[in-house]
Amino acid sequence: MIRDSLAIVVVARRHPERLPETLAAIAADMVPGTIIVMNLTGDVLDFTGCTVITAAPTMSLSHAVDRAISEISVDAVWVLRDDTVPRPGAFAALASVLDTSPSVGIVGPKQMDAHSPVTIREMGESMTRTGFAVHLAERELDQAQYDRTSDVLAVGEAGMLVRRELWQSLGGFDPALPGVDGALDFCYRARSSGWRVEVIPAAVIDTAVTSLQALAGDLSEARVVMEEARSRAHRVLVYGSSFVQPLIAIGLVVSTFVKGLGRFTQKRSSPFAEWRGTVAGVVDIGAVGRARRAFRAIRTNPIGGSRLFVSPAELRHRRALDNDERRALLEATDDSPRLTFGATALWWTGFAVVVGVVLNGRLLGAPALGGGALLPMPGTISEAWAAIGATWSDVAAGITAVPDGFAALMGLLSTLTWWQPNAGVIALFVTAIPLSFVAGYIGAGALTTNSRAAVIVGAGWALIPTLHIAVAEGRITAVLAHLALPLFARAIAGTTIVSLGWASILGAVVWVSVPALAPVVVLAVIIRAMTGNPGAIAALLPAVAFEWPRLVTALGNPLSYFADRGVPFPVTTPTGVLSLTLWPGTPTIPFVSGDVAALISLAVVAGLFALTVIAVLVADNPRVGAVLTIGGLALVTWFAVSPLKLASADGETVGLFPGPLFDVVWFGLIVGAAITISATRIGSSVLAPTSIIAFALVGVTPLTAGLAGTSLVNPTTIRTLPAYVEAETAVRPGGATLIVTPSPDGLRAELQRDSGVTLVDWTAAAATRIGPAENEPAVAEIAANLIVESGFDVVSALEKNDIRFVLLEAPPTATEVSSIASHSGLTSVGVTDRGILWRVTGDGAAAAIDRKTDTIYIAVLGAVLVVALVAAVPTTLPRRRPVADDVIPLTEEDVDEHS
Amino acid sequence: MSILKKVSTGVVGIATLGLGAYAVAFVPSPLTSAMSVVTTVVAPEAVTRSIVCSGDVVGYVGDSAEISAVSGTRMATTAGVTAAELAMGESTNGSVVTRSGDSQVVAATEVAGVRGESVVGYLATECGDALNEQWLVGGSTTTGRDTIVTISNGSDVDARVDLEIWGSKGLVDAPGSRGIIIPPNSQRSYSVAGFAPDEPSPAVHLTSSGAAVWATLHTTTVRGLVPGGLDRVGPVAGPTTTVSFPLLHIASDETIGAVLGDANYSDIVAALRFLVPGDIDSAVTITLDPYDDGESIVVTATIAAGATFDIPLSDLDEGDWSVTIESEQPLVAAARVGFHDTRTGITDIAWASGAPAQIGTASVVVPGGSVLGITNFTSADATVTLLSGGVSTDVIVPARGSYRAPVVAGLVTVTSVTDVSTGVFVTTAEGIATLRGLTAPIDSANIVIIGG
Repeated sequence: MIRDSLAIVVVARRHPERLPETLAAIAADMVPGTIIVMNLTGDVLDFTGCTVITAAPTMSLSHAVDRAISEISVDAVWVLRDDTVPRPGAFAALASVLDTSPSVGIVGPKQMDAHSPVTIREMGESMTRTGFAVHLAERELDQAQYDRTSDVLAVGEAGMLVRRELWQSLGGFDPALPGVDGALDFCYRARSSGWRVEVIPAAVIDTAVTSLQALAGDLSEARVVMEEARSRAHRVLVYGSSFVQPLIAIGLVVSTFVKGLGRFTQKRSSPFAEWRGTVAGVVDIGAVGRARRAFRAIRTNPIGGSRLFVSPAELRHRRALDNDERRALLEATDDSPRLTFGATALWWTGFAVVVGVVLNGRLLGAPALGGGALLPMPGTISEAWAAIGATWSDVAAGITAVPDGFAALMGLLSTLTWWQPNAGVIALFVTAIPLSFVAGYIGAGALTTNSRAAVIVGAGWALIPTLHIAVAEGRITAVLAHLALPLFARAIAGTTIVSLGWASILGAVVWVSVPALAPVVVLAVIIRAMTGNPGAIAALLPAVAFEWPRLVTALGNPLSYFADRGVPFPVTTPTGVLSLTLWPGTPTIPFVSGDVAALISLAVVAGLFALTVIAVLVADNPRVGAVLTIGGLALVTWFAVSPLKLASADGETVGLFPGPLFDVVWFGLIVGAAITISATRIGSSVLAPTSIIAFALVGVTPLTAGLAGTSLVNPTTIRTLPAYVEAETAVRPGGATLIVTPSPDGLRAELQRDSGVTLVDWTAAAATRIGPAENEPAVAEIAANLIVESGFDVVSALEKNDIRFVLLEAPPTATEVSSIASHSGLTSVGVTDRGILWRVTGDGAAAAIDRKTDTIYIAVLGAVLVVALVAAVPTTLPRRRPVADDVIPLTEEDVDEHS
Repeated sequence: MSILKKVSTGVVGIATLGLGAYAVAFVPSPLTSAMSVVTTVVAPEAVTRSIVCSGDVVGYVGDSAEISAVSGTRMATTAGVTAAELAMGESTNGSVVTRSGDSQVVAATEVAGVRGESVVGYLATECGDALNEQWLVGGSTTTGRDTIVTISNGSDVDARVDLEIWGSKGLVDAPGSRGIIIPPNSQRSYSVAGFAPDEPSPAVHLTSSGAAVWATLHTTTVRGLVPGGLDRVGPVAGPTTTVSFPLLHIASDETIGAVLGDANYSDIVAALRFLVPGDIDSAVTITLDPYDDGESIVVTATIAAGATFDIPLSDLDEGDWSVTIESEQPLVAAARVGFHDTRTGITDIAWASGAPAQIGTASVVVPGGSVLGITNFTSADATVTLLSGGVSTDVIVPARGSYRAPVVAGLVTVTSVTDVSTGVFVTTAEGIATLRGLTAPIDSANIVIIGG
């Protein structure tokens, strides 16, 4: 009889406060046997009526049991923890099975949750063929649904009653599994050596914590997953055949890594915890080896295709239930109203597409665009990609500098039209109007859920002069910022990880395109971090990943950082009160004088401001205030840098283009006004159309620049050098062309390589350089000596700099022609579309240029962008329950209701 | 939640926006930036300036159909070496004067007084920097008049020259006037009569691809059997809206009046020749200012585009005149004056190309009997430094006025910081001629290079 020779080992570790209850329950149930309390708490425990053995707190449960029974001779051991309380009759039920069934080596009770006495915490354990441990009944309401279960693969450690001979022949639990699945493994080995394991539903104990918690206290979810994975890896390697063991190890690591990637893309927490645990289990070869030898020694009765395992179907079923539970939780917390892109918006978008094609359709079908601040992109995607992380730029006679964020951005954006990078630029300019409408509409969702207001915002955004002056002057950076700004506003206002991911990417587009907007992006993110999720600050990471080399470089001259990216192009800077028209130039309206146009523009801004004030005061929408604050910062930025010249090109110094800064203000004003308009009774019928027409009328001059022929952007070829040069460099790439342009102020000397300078060549380092770059003095010397007859050995100097062509941008009759021709070693090619061309005779086998790319930059940028993209991709299904839009209350009663 | 608290964010936003707007509109930024245009000033090494001289007086000798030298010229040069002789057929003719260093004082003038069977007269012509486009106005190809264009290529590369001949009836269709190859260091002469026979008012537009060339127009006159008239004019670079002839000497009726009764001598009357290239007729204002006492004469006329047009200046008093032409459209113009010595019987004419308005140092080597004229076409007085005979003096040329001074043979330089035109009128017993002071094409001491 078991009860005649029984040791009751109570392992006390983390819940000594519950220990008296445990002991009292044992006493009340009148369980016969020696009670040994293993004190692993590190404190002194003193109980009468039982033996207390104090041991090191790090000792495992298995060792504690060994130690407890080492000096007494008993037939069976009942393993209890300080958090377990046996209910009356528990022991009797367990003991009766052991007494009556000699083949049963281990029995275990039904474990109930100590905090919820009707919930089953655990009742028998099993695993899949692939080693996943499964609790047969886990956190289920006890409705006696499992009470017919008896034969199981394993039982949990708490309340386990085990024959001593079995315990000792197996050597207790595997020391490599102290916290998780020690009991599972022990029971598995018991079965492998011919014993049976049963769970006894009639025996009930209350358990407060899991075995891992009992060992290590409360742990993070990631740590639990890690421990479980480590245990699984260990067990699988121990049980498996030795031949396939290495394959299994690799398979485990790879499969858990892939699973980790899956969890990562689903934006689950600690995606790689399971992989880390698996690796930890696999690399502990010593423990695996010891356990394998021990297992082989006792295995007499291998477990075959036993029904005791959990089938894959069962496992899938369990996982599906888990997922449903998780989604239900997510959806329950997400009940905020949203602006939807409905049929009205689609119609308006279609209309905007028509307007865009009518106004800028002349650009369609061009091989590339150029003019104003725009140069063609490289002709192939590989050349565009080469700009990412490039430390060499052909501009400024060749300049070595840190990688440029905008060049990297353009290289990445080119991927969207991978067959021809210039197609993306053309598409951007032709569809600037519809894209702006969509951006404005979506962006309005940051502040309102009213689709009528959103249409007004979208229309306004597609019509305002900041966009169209940028389009007409080829300022691709300002166009990109114009499109990205409202989307960024919507994304940063969101709460989910997806919206944060988008905010980080769009913020980077805004920042990198127009560094003057960096303060705006930073402030928006900071406001978000302060009012909501502090982690939102991470949304700045992609922008920093793009720009950190430039940021570090600009420490010496911070103002230069704010210079516009791309090709520096002169700006008509509005000054003083004229700035408040929010025109990035001088306001012009057909048929009225400049002063009247300025007054009308000011009136429009003032009207929008008045409507915005109404929205702020009565609409109870704090976000309008936040957007206006950010707009204020944009104005302060403009106040600071407006008179400054920040870059130079083509013999001119160039200030900042204020369009993007004004865009920020426009956005706040348009949204504020739209909220007020859409909430008033006459809004929909009168004010909304009136405001859209007003936008169109005020902006009509820049809007129709393409039709009127005043736009500077025109179709062009991808090459910017004569075809002869292109043909020659196609055969022998790398050669440079010296372009000499006489002007009243002096002689412009420019070096271009291959078939010409492209947009991505214009790095900020070149545009904002103060003083000549490294190669410019040499080129200047060559140019100066070229245009006079001199004793200078021009040809060898040209060859030294790998200059193969000289192009004089002047009529054939210019005086410089004969001077240049006077130098022997130059062969006249003739008059080309750009000027007079000479070829430098000789092979000019100069050293190739060191076009290094900054791999660290690319690695950092790539890693950050991958994380941001994964965050931005919505990997969960859209919510199933539609949520009704709510309209912002404006009436007195509504305000009161919301108070 | 009070209404105040609810709108507080909005009020903060409005306040920030207002603050920003106020700053933008009314407060000057405290920041400054060090950005400037990237320029490098380069002084080229060992600058060499080459000016080209046309060489001998040429013409048809005897019955020869080939143009060859009739008589030599004396070349007066300063501060330079003759770097190359130019090949013309079998012989050499013309030369290139080059100098390294201070290129601004390189100048050369060819002078010849001829009293031969077929040619009588006097010429003095400045040598100049080769050009890729140039206009030559002057001469005639009517009976007894010969006009020869001499193209000199002093460089080491070929020049491919296209000629356009304009006449009083418009552009002349002239076969063989295109694609003329002038080999390196050589010279070619062509009779304008070969392209435009019997043309009283030719003008030549010459464009060169490849090497730049120096072209001159060489005119001789034979009236019946009496030769009388020789000159050579240098080119102007292109049409301009103002043209000056700083100094023209109009002969007295006592001298040329004696022969004016003969219709053959009608071309020794002073005249202006205009050509407005292009399609738009141009209104021109011709201002004739006497250096001596007398009233300025202002003539306005409309010049039809696309054809040469001569205006005789028959009623001018004897003396030195400064002639300036203002035009709505760019034009090229030349002036002609005549000379007759009743004692020797020598008749001569001189053609003057427009003297370009220039900044910097214009230099010219003058023979004896020269008078310098400087015209300031700007609306402000110009102070110029005049160097003649080794003596440097500062003189003031009044706004829209002229300055005249006799100069001694040798180098004359005129240095100005504003646009002035410099001309020289030479009167000798053998005839008359005009010269122009020309600046170096580029101020090669410090060339400003702007970074790309």
